[in-house]
Amino acid sequence: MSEQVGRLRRLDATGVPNLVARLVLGLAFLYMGYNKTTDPYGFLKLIREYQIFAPEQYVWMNLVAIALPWLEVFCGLLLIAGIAVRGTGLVVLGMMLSFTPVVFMRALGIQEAEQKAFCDIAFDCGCGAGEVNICWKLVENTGLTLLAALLVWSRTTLTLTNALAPKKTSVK
Amino acid sequence: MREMARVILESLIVVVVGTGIALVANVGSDVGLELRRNYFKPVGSRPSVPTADSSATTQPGDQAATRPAVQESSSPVHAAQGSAAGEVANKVEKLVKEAGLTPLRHDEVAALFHDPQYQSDAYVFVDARNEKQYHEGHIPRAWRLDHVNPQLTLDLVQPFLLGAEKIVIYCHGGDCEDSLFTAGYLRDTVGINPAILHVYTGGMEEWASKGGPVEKGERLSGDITTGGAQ
Repeated sequence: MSEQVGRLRRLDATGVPNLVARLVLGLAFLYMGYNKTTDPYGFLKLIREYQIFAPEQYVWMNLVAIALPWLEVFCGLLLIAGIAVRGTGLVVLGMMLSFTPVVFMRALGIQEAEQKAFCDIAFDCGCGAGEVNICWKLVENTGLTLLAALLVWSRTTLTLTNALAPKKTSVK
Repeated sequence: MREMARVILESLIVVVVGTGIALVANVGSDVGLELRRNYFKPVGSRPSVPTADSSATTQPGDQAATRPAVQESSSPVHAAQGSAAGEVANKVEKLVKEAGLTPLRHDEVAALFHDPQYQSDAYVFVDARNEKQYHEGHIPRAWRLDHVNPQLTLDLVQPFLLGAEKIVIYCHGGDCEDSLFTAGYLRDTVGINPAILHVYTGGMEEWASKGGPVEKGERLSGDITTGGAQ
């Protein structure tokens, strides 16, 4: 077990897995976040369909519709630029772990209402890519979640932060 | 442990800065949202005006407490549909009636569309969807006005609304309530008499699927695709 962890550490030390994860997650969040920023009311309507907020909690619903798209864009840019990678990875991980169960539950609700096979369900989950097949969406979200977890765990050196401010090593 | 605390702190900073950027960007956007506005406030919750003169309009603020009787004249629009889509459409139609407004069926809308009064602007159609959807295809001669950002087009549309004998408002169709919310806005804020406000609950989706002509781009662009039988 420790040997496998050591192997993963060595792979991580090359910086390649981290770089790939950053770029994939960064581009995905930039794309999906930007799509939402162009139609915040459309996004608000999709949030409402999840029925997470009671009607009287509309201020919170508005805040999510305003903040989330730009937060996704911001996270995407930070990841691509390699700034605050682990902290941003943690934010993205938190988002993915929150959204995925909610999307799954909504798909179950649609399945019950429409009496379809689960993988035949396609709907606009508010994720920023329009109408998507639920099974494909869950696979995609699982992949993005794993990449975000990798960024939190990884201690790579291929980031802009490290390039601009390399850690000083003391020489005795 | 200290390393993890640093990562958590970093993530909190990202959230705070990202939210700050979002709030600033929202204020500067034409399509931004108002934080304290309830965009889904039930339309029927505000009193409407008496309907003694069905062609009259009222002034903003001149709203009596009497709500017109729920319109029962239209036959159930989607009664024949037993599907989930039919149930959704019936729900929207019920909301329209509860708001004291008149739901219209496709054939009724088509009749108004082909009436010469439509060409003379006595009948006015309002597309309550966003600009992108409007440009992708709308009912020919329909104006665009949505309840979210009415300021974008209201100045242009208002004179036609105030002079109209009948106003037909539609959005996408299905469970879309934007036509209802826009009707509520016209009634409660612009002061249009609810007796002339009609909501086409089938919306653009039904209009196009039943072969209604569709205009792309700006209003009166001339880029019209004529469908089959209506």
